[in-house]
Amino acid sequence: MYIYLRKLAAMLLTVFLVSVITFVSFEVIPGDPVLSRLGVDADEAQIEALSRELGLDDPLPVRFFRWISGIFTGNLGLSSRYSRPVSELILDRLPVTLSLAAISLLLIVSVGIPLGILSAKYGDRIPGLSISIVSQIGMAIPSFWTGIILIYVFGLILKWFSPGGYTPWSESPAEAFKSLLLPSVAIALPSIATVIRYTRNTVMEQMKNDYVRTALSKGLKMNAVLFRHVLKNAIIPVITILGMITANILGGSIVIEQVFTLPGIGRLLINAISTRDLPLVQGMILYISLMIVIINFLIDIVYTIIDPRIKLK
Amino acid sequence: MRRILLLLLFSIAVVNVFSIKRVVVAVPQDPDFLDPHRAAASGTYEMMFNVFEGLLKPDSTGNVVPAVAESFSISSDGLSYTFRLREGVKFHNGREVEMADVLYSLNRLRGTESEAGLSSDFVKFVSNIEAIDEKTVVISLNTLNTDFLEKFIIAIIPADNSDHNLNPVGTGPFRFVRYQPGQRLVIARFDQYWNTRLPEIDEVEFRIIPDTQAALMSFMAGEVQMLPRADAIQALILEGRYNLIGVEQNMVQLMAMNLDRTPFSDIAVRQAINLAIDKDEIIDLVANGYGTKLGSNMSPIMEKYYQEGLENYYETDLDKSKRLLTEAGYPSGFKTKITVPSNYQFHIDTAQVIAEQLKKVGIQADIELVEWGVWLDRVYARRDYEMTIIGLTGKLSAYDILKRYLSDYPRNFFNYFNPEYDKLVNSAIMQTDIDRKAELFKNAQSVLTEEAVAVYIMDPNFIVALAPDLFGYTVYPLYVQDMSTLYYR
Repeated sequence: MYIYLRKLAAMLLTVFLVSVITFVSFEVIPGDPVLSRLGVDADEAQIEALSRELGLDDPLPVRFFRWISGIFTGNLGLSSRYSRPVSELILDRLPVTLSLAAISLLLIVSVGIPLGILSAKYGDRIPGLSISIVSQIGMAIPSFWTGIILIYVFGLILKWFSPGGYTPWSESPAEAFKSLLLPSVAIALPSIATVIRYTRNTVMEQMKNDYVRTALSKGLKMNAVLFRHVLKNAIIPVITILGMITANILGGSIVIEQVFTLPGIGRLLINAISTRDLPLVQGMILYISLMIVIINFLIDIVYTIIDPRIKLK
Repeated sequence: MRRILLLLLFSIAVVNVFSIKRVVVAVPQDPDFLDPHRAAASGTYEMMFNVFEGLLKPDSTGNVVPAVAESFSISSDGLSYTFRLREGVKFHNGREVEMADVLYSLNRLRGTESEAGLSSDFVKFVSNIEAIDEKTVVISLNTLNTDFLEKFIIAIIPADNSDHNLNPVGTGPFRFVRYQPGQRLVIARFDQYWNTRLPEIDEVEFRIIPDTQAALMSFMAGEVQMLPRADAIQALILEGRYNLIGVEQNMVQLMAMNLDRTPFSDIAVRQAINLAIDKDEIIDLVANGYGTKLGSNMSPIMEKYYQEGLENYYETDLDKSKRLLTEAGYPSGFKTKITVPSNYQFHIDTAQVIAEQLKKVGIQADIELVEWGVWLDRVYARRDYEMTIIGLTGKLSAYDILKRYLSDYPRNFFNYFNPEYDKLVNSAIMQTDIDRKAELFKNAQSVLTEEAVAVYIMDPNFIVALAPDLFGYTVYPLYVQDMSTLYYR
């Protein structure tokens, strides 16, 4: 129990520090939320009205205190760009990002881990080498490029889906899946390559251990040794990597969302930063920090399930 | 059984798709405000033009025609405007427009004792707003401003709407349906529109696609039916397969030089820069020919007020340019910086061509890319720049276009202060004689050119791409998309 409290305290401190840094950096960098919103055609009267509404005349500590005290009442404030509650804007984007994360994670696990094991099994023979070469290429290709190629091939030539058309799950689950599949593939590809390499390395590492020789010498088949004994030991570092990948995707796949015009967390964050929407940026940082903390926590639990020797410290 | 059911479902879906006439328009950014009195961005007006109407509304020739008002008259001294309200104009909530709504809207712009006005023009010029009877309203000005009539295109909104920004209600041919930030703004035909010529399109979705490449792909895939601002390269890809309409958009793309800084405070230097720049080359290279050459801060689409001939005032002449630079004390040129907003590829490309052209007279211009938010704050508001390239969108009123150079204009980022210019522009709006007024506006443009206040480059033609079966696009000298005239064939 004490461990969790300590973790919670560490998390709160992290979020607090991050938001102080954000507040200060927004103060330092050029840019103004009022001008960013209204643009070059703004009338002086309109600029004044919006400045008044946003309460930007108050000194920094006052504004910071207002924000912090808002959090404890569950109020993240109003976005300065959209005049809507920050929590509503984030929640609205969450389904897209969560779906992207779920689908791409499924792809990463179901393709990356088996291929990694396979690649390790064949070591430096042709199948192993070819998998590792392909995975190296996969890591080198940026996901936005994969995205554009996927849109071009599947959207414009084959016409299997329509680019730029996101359908929410509530309207049509089939259409929603269709519009999310390709971006998920684009997100998953480089991560699949990473997972293959990690799995391959750790599995090959484990294969050198004595227990593998023992198992093989008592007559177990190679596959049985790999999946029953080696995998359990090799999977721990891979899970760590998977955790990092998940946190990344949940923090918004900025580039992929832009390329596929998906209304996810990443695009919202980019918008918020470029329009100097401090309340929204703060809210999103809170969300991202929370996500990372939760995922780390889940991974810790998974560790203890896979290897009971590991204790949370 | 299941197959039959599926077939049935499918056919219902198909019928649904075809019975609703829908147009999806790609737009690059979110609206700033849905509340028409608080919205400033041209990108917002372009959409909400379909939802709101003022006492008057702009037509496609750049004139204003009666809308919520049925007729209007201007007193002989030009100081009071009388509007007679149209019978049976309804708001989108079904309620008829009453005098109370008109007074509410106009007072909201001018301001009351308790609340500041939302339009500085109304605050500055309007002295009195009075209802003579249930149908007649008189607006009096404190000083003559013959360009004030155009101000009445601003929306009339219901006095009893609790939140104009969340749930905008107007009187236009389309009613607001929903807005999802960063995703879409949907409007639908308003069946009780006062004008019996109803739009043919049932529903319009303005889909927010910031990435131009993504917008093009969506258009080519048929997901989007209208691409209002294709660029020249996209136009090349689309040519022949789609309806493309290229028109002057009443925009002035210019390179401003900070007049408060050396060497730009010297008119000879500014003229030298103008002489070194070849606008035709820029139009060819950057806009692929889709641009109209300018010579001052006015597009030829403003027929009445446009001063002809200025576009060739500075014929490219490198020798003369070098001579002027030498006389000004810069025989071997100087180093400077062009600050360009990084989200406008068009301006970045222009800056690159200009930097090359300036090299020929020894001026070394580095290009500095800044985020749009930074540009607005640093360049536009705080005037901290040397040279910058930007496009200024046009207005119906020549005064609104030219007022940017007035000494007392709060956003005069050129740092141009010239009493003679102020006098020309300010006296133009005091003229009731239309020819005399046009002449003064034209003179003001000449002053800008002669003094080389900026390099006036072009009016980049905007290229509207329409799906092959979509017709009826109306061109306005304004930044608007009129969806009411579109139809499928």
